[in-house]
Amino acid sequence: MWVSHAQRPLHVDELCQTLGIEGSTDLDSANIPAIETLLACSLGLVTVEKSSSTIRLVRQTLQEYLSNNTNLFPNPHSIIAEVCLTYHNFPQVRSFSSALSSIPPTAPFVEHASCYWGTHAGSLTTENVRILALKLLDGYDKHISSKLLLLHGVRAEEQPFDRDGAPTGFAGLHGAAYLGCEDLIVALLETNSGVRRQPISMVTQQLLALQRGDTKER
Amino acid sequence: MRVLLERSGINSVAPSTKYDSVALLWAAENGHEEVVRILLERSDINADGPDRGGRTPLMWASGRESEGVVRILLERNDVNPDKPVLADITSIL
Repeated sequence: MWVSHAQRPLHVDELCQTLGIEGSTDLDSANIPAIETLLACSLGLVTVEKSSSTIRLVRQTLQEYLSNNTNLFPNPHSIIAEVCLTYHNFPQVRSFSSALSSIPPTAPFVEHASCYWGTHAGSLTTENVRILALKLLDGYDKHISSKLLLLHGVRAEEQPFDRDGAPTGFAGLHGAAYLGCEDLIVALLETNSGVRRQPISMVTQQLLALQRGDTKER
Repeated sequence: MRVLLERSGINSVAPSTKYDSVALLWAAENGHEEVVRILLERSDINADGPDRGGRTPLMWASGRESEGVVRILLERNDVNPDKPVLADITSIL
């Protein structure tokens, strides 16, 4: 699924780290499979492009087959978005400074996850993706993923970085607007309310309770 | 929640939230038409609100050749396509 549905070819260390995310609660090098194991499990259907150290399917016709038979991987983009966001919410990834100028060696997947989670999440998000995304977007400009997204897609003169090279004023709503995630925009506009900024009142408590109820129903 | 907000007449948004207007710039920058529409539905968002350099959402959108967003913005009465920026150029140049 990752090889056929990712937005760009994944490097060996990116893919290996990706496969160690599910079932983990933080970055865990012990949970990362070796590339040899991965290739052996693929029965020869994927290969390493030696010149670029990226993973690809052995034949273009296999890519076409996988793309045309959508029942093989149900909801691949939601699953990829969920994995990217789970990764971003790992305590170690959250602890990286948003002023870093290079990708931490312990987190090779962080650039890909930062640049493409929104594309995979799309305009209509599943409940799991929404919960994980809202967690990431809360304090977004303090998270390394906001810097990596800006470096990837925005012209240098428009990158809102402070003197230390950290994004400034690039909040969750701005990130979601840039990525085009409509569901998240609506959710953020609803929760980013003037009511919420005031001391907790009876009305606020009712609103929050109702919101929690909404979440459960979905 | 939206229903309750509407019924109770609670103003769900703080007045003149710069935060929300900047979101319009970012949506325009990347050409997300539907997000631009959602943001423009809100009365507290200035459709012609400039960034710190004086560039408006229309300028951001036209700089990226986001034709759909440019159309949406030009259809509005409160967007001035001839608004000068500091360097006195217009967005259509």
